[in-house]
Amino acid sequence: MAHSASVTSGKSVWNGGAAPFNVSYGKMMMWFFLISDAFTFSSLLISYGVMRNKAENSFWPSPDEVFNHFPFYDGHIKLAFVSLMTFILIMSSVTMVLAVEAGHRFDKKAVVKWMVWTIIGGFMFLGSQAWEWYHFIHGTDLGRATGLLNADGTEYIIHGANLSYNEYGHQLFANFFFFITGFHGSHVFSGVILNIIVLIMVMRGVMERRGHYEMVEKVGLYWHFVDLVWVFVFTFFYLI
Amino acid sequence: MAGFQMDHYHMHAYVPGQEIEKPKTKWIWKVFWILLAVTTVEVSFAFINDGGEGAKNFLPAVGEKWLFIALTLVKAYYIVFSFMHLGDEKFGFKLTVSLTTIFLIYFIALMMYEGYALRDVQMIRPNFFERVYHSGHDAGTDHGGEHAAPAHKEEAAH
Repeated sequence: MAHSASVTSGKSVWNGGAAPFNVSYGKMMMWFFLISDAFTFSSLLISYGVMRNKAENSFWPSPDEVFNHFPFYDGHIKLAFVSLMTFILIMSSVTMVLAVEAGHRFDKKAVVKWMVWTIIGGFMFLGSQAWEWYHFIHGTDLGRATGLLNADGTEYIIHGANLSYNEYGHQLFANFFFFITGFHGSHVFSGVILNIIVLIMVMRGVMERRGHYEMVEKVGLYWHFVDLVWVFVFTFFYLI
Repeated sequence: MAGFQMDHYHMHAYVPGQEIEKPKTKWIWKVFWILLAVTTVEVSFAFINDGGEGAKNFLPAVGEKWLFIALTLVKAYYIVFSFMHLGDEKFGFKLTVSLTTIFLIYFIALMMYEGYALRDVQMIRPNFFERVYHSGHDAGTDHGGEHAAPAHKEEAAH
């Protein structure tokens, strides 16, 4: 309103002094950062696709057989745990958008409540990811025989996966899993830290003094992006 | 230049002690149910279409992949245009954000083709990405004795 009114008709809004897209500088830069981050994640997932195409299908592990554990359940069930993780992240995205909505109404109490729930959701997701990594690193009791012998003459069997061996098949499957989910997890972690910082700012009344809750919106954009990336990781790593 | 810092959400700056409006969250929960429903469809279809041993019941593997990609793009649309409010931005800004990713389509097509081409390279050169366990290979030196030792089995049992 303020800026569009200052532009007289006939003059271009692109000459400076106005916001042609009606988006503040900080918010636009957050969008541009997210676009560049989207390209980084795309490159990672595309390189995963290339190497999977290159590998023989029989040697590439099926995620259904690798990630089939569920807490307090002895049997194997595919996709269950990762679906739960997806639900947690979508839910925390919903609480984040509720916090942004409350910010538009200057409802400080509601902003604090929904941001706390978002942070809890973020920690729950990180905990789930740690659980998933633990089981992938430790592998099955049976393990995989390599056809080699140990120094003491016993059979050399590998259990689980790390960056130098993978019980389940192709080594690159493990490397891409650690790199892509790890890179996403570090985004979730930094998102939680940013959420905590903004929550403290909200609680101290910084946004009320500024007259708007735009900082909640910016951190919300980042948080939704993290959710968006997970939607793609879920599809390309677990479903396909 | 206070106005320059504001976007269209902050037309009314905060006045201390002002009355708080009622929340309008119906659309948020609508999008949540859409996202949950699409994810449920994806996961259930993965179970229904699973014929065991890599076999498919209804859709062949290629069709299943395209279905999952299409449903993922539906979810991505709702997250970006609803939750991230891109749908409320000006048309030029929508284009700036979404059109940039159009280059990915060519990148994906190019690199997937490259992946198939690399299969032929594998036949000419030994594949250094795949670990080959040959007889002259000493497991103890490469992987560290602690992984090879029987003690590791006990560790993995719990």
